[in-house]
Amino acid sequence: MLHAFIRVVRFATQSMKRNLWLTIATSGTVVLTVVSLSFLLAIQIGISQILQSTEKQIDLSVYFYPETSDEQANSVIVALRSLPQVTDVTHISREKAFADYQEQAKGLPELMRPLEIIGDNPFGAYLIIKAKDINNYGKIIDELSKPQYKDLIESQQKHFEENRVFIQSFSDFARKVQLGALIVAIVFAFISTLMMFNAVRIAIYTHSQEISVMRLVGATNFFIRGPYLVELITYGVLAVMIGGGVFMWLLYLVQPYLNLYFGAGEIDLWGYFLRNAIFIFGGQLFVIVVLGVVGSSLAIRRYLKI
Amino acid sequence: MINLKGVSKKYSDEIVALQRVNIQIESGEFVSIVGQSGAGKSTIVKLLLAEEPVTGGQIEVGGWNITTIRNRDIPLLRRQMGVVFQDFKLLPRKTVFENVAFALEVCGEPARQIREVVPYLLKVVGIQDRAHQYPNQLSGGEQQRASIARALIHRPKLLLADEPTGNLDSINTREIIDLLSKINEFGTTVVLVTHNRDVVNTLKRRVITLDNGKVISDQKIGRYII
Repeated sequence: MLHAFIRVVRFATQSMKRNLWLTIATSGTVVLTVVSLSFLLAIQIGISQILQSTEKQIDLSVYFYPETSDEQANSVIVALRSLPQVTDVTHISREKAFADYQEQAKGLPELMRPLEIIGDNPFGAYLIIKAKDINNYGKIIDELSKPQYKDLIESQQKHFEENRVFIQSFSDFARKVQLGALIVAIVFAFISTLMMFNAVRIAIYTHSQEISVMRLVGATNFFIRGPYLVELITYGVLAVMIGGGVFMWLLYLVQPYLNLYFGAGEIDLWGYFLRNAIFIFGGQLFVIVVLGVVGSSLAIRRYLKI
Repeated sequence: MINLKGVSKKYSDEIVALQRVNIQIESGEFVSIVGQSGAGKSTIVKLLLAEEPVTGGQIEVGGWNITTIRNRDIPLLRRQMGVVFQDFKLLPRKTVFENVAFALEVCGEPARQIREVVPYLLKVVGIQDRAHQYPNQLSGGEQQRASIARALIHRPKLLLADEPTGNLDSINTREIIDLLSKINEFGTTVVLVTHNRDVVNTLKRRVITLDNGKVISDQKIGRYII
């Protein structure tokens, strides 16, 4: 069986050598498919990392009156923690809030002067609340607006409204970019399938004499069709190696600029692709081979009579 | 060995190649099928090779019912037959050795067997000294010998020769017919499709004559009668 397989591979290699320009053109188109699929994935991952990074910065701060006691503040914390939408509640005491302000105002007399005039700690304790999802903050605000908290809470500072607008508009933009990239990837995948179909068709014409002799002497379908399947798998492997290599090289060049723009480690496409290279490029090889098998099966069925 | 029962073949309503043909060929026979162009001779070869389906009737070859044969069994059927054609069907980019070996390679035979069998067959057909030459470096008769060597590669019980002397001069024709006779003497059934009157008349073997897709004569020791 092994020698039969080796023979099929040898026939396929001969065929690819004989039609070298066709091999280059077909592999080139499949390379473009690999690059466009990788680009689509990079956009997807990049967008997801940007959204995650933005969502991390979103929270809701709730400021208590200076007169609100720790027990009263605790009752609010317990109520908030019981909400399924809340992931974390951090309590900043009056003293900590005062110390933080002093630290920030150090060396800034215009900020220190009001404190000297008041002569006491004017700050109340406050809470920093994080929700599971940006859309959950509305529910939390509703909870805090209940009458029993009216005399405890002085104000709320929403650090999510601007971010929510950003996330909304960025998501809309991202969807359009993703759609565009998806269309490009589908077009390239379609062209690749046609190219592989055509390559197999030409290979069948080129080898019509051999095929005719093979049929006469009783060659099995494995020997007649096998070389064409090996040929397109080779196109796929070549394309993934070249396309994947080119794409990773481009990513390596772009990553420092992403670090510079978004902050180190915020958008780490290079790291993501490196960690998942086997799955990403293995998956692409699988997709290309499936497309190739479809293309070549159509060509074989159409042009190769056994 | 071969049994055609009421076989008909229509390519279209206007083109009827065979009409209810009945032929029975025993194992070890040497049979010539003769007739003018369009008589249906080559259609019989195509039907025996399962290249074309029959329109009506039934064909049996060496225990295979070709009328109902499954696609995956066709290669097995073809390994039991050898075929030679007028145009030799040799691959121009392969040497004689490679052409004959190709038939074993594509059937998955191991290289060791190929190295043993191919030189033996080239010796049987008398072109062992031409093994490493390309078809265009051989005479017509030598090319046909190479084609016969390839046809014998699976030790077939049946050899179909479709106009094997059509491209040959009289000397090479004689040599090829002698070779076919020798192969028949070793027990292989030979079916020779030809319209060469001299070949048929000198063979003095069974002759089946076709005309317009019908068998018009079947003589044990026949002559070319059209």
